Amino acid sequence: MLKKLLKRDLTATSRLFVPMLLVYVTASLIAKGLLELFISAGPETSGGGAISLLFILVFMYAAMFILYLVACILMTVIFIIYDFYKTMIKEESYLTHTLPVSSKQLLNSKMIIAFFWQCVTMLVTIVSVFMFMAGHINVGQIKEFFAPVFREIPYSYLVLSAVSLVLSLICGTLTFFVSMAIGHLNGKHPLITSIGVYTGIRIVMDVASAVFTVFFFDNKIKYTISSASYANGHVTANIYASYGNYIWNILSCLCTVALIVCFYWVTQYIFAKKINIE
Amino acid sequence: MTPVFECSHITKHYGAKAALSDINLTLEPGRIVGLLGPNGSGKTTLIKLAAGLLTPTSGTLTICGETIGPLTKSKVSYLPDKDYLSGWMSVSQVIDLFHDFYENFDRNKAYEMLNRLQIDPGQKLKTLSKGNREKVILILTMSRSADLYLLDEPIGGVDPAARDYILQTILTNYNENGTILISTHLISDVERILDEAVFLKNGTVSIHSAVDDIRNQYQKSVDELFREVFAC
Repeated sequence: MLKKLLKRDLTATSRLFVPMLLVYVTASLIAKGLLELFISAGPETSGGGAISLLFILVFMYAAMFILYLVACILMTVIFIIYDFYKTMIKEESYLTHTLPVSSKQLLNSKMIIAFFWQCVTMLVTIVSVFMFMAGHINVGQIKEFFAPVFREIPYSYLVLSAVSLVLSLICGTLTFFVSMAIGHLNGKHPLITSIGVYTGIRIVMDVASAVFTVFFFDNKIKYTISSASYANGHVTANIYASYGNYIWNILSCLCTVALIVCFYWVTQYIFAKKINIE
Repeated sequence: MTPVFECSHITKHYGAKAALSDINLTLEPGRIVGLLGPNGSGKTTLIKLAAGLLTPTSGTLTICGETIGPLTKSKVSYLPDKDYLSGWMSVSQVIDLFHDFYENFDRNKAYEMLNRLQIDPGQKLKTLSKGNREKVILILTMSRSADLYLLDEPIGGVDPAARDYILQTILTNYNENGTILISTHLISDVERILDEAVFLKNGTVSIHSAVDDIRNQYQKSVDELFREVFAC
C-alpha cells in the first residue's frame, strides 16, 4: 500500500513542483546566456551607451534570479505544507482517511515525498550553480579551492554534517506535520491553531537550543583546546577534528532524532486515534 | 451472523456540544436502512464515525466485528456530502486510484456507468458540471462490492429527476449481501427503497424499526411519522 500512496502523492505534488523547477532551470539558462553575452561584450561593458544597458539588464536579471532561487526554497516548503493540509485535513482528507491504509503509511508516504522534493530542489540548485560557472571555472580550480577545506575537515566530520543536514530536513518537515495534526483537532479553526502550535513549538525549540548552546559552549571550548593540544603539542586550530565538535554534533543529532521520534509518534497517533475531520 | 454495523453507547462531543449521545444501533447484512433526521440531528457525525473520519468521545463502534481501521475501510464504501476529489485529476485517473486501493472496486462497472451518462473519462474533474461531478462520486462509491455503503445525503440538493437516477443507480449496483445506510431528510423520495428506518433526534436514536412495522404499528407512512416526530 505504501507504494500506491507514494504513487498518488508523487503524482499530486509533481503538478506543483515540476513547473516550479522547470521555470528555475529556464531562468538558470537565461542567466547563463546573459552572463556569456556580458563577458563576450568585453571589459568596456560597464561604460556608456548600449553596453551599459546590457550591464543593467544583466545586473537586474542576476538580482531576480537570486530572488527566485530563494523563492524556490520557500515554495518547496510551502508546497509540502499545502499538500499535507489539503489531503490530510481539508476536503481531500475525506478520500485520504477512508483509504484502507494505516496512519503510519500515510505519514511515511508524505515524509518520503517531502524529502524527495527537498533533495530534488537542492540538486537542481547545485546543478544550476555549476552550469552557471561552466566554461569559466574548471574542475581542477574547484578542487584547488576546496582542497584546504578538505585537508582541515576529516571525512568523518563531513559524514556527520551530512547526517545532521538530513535529520534537520526530516525534523523540519515533521514540525510542520505535527503542528497541523494538533491544529486539526480544533475542527473549526484548524489553520490558525496549526500556526499557533507551530509558533509555540519553534519558540520552545529555539529557547532549548539557545540554553543548550550556552551550557555547552564553555565545555566545547575546553574540549577543543584539550584535543588540539593533545594532537599537536600546542594550542592550534584544527577545530573540526576536535572532540568538542564531534560531541557537539553527535549530541545535536541525537536531540534531532529524539524530536523526530516524538513528532512522528504524535502525528501518527493523532490521525490514528484522535482523528477529527469536521 | 456478525452485524455489519454495531455501535454501543457512542457519544460524540464537539467541544461542549453533544452531537451524539449514547447511541446504540445494530444493523444486519443485506438491509437498506434510512438514517433519518432533520439538519443537525447527528446523521453526518454518525456516518463519519463509521467511515473513520471522526473518533467517538466514548463508546465502541465496529464494522463486521472489527474496530475502525484499514480493514474496515476496505469494507466500507463512503459517499460524503462533500466534493472531495482533486479537480486536476481526470475521471479515468480517479478510477485508477480507486482500482489501486480498493480490491472490491469494479473498474468495468464504473466505465459502463460513465458511458451510460456520456461522461468522457478523459475529462478533468474541474471541467465537469457540479451535477456530473456528484454523479462521478456516486459511480465510484457504487462500483465497489462493499459490505457497508455509507451514503450521506446522496439526494440532497438535486432535482427530482436526478434523485430518481441516483436511487436507481444505488439499487441496481450495490452488493446485495451488503447493507446500505443512507442519510437523508427527503423521506418521501427514499421511503420506497427502505427496509428499515432509524430516526435520529438531537443526537439520540428515537425510533429504529422495519419500515413495514412502522406502517403497521403507527398506521402511517415513514414520511408521515417523520413529520409528526420532528414537528416544530
